[in-house]
Amino acid sequence: MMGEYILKRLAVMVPVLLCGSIITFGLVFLTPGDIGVMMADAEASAMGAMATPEMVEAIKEHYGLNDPIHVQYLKWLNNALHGDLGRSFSTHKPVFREFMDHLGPTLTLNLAGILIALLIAVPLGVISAVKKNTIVDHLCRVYVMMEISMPTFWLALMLLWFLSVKYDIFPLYGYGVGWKDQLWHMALPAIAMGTSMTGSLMRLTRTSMLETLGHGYIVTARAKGLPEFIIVFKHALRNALNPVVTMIGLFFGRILTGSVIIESIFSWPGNGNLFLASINARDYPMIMGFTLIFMALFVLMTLITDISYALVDPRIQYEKS
Amino acid sequence: MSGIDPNMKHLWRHLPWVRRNRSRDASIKATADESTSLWVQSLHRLCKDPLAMIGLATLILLIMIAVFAPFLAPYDPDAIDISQRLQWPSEDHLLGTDKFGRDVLSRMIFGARLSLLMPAIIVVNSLAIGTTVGLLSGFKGGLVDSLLMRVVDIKSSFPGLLLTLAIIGMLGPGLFNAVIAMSISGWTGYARIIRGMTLSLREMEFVEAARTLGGSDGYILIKHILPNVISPVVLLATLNMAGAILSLAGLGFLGLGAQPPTAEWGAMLSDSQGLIFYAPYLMFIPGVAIMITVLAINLLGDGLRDAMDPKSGGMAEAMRG
Repeated sequence: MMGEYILKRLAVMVPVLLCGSIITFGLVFLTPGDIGVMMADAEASAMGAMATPEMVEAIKEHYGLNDPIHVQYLKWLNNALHGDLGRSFSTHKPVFREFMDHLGPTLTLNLAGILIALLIAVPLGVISAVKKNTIVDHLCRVYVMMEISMPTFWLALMLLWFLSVKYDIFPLYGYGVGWKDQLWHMALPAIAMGTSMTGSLMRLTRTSMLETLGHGYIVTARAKGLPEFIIVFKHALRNALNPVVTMIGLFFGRILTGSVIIESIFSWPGNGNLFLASINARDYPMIMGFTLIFMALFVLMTLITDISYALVDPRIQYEKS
Repeated sequence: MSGIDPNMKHLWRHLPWVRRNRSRDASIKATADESTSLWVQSLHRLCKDPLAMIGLATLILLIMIAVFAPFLAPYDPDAIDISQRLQWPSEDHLLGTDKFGRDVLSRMIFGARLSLLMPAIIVVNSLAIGTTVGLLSGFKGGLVDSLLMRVVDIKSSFPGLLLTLAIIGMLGPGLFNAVIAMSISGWTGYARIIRGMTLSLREMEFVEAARTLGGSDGYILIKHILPNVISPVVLLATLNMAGAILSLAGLGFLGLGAQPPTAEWGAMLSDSQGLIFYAPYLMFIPGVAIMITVLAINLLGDGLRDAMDPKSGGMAEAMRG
């Protein structure tokens, strides 16, 4: 049953991804100017020369830029499916390799960030729900309101100023050498990223907990005389976690876009920083390749989230979704 | 006249000359009172919410500051005075000066214009696209509906910020391009909600009547359906301003939105990043301004949601997705 559900969802992914590829390919028409000239310029600058009209024509012929648009698209898609997303204009390396080279730092930073967010937000959300309308709850809600109104980049800058400049606790930026040093360098960006997720996560946990605590089986558990601790953590929390799982999945799906700002502030050598650099350098193959890869990752993460959702909560029927 | 179907009698209300005198028709008067009183009730509830009122007052104050910027700003926001560079806040310059000796307070006051107006334009654009798609989809039904809704589904399968970044990457950085990219990226929520409301309105008697009287599709959509669906969505769209302000400031911070020397809060923060050791006040001020603005909108938004829909925040939650 589970296998069938996964297969069905995978089948739905195909048209979505195809449309994503059409959107990505369509991005090329937004560029001001002739893409053939730009590619020729990029190739020529790699050899330390200027592009001549003949070169432009040769490049256009070589990459099939004179072909009808649907042929171009199919060629591009075929190449993309074989892992060939073109070469970066600035580094001349294959786009896919650039992506893989920078994936590690982005993944570790995001994992650490999400872990920190979970460790802060879920316990506080639970406390806030259990102690509803007490001073603790009010404080938590004030925090949530402040946090969701705060720009992520400003929070990161403030942490940087306070913890690195004023009290020289963490390094200012960079990646570090050796795992201990790297961990040390990662601390501040991870704290900034994690904190920026706590607001929405806490609010969600609180709402979900409040709803679960209102259910009949909680009353039953209380009537049985179970300790409050067990009621909250065993009966309520497990059932309240579903939306939290979904949100974590969303955070993962937004790894690139979520970490662009943090990575650029802390000069973290990840994909977010690279994507930003590509945008600023008008590196079109990189922008298109990264957009395609991250669209695919996002769709995949949505699928994984839905599956884990079903695993966490056996009541969910696969057929219905 | 005796042969007329009694059920057709209500059609008279929709004749132009009858509509103008509709207060004479007791039954219509009753429904009109009912609908206004619902709004009035919501407004009354809203006025009793102190936090929402604080938010509203702050927002009005900020808009006034933006409108009367030339009268309020003590200096020309773009006047460079190198001899006065990087002055800490003092009596002469209440919020200090930046690296070119420009008065930060004046730049903040003028920056309020762009930082408030541009997000408003983005939200209006998205609302316009979403409303058009939603109205067409819900009213036409059939093939048009399924096609448009597939587009909406696919659009929402990908993270909006990724699309925004990709579009800016192709168009090139700049405030205008950022506004275009964000307008294109965020309309699906409106389309879904408008479609849902249009679907149920389409079957209402007054639409049937207008059609029987020979009203064209366009006339019915604009005269009869649009006025009925637009007000709640417009109210909720104002709340989406919070997200738009944060995103636009984020883009400005990344150097993808407003370009220097434009006075925009995000870009000002970006300018101050390199001066973290010498002039931390430069990055403190714009961040606080953004936070206060977003907080005001969020406070008002929470109050509005509670006032309009005291039982649940279903609609507002859906809009934010």
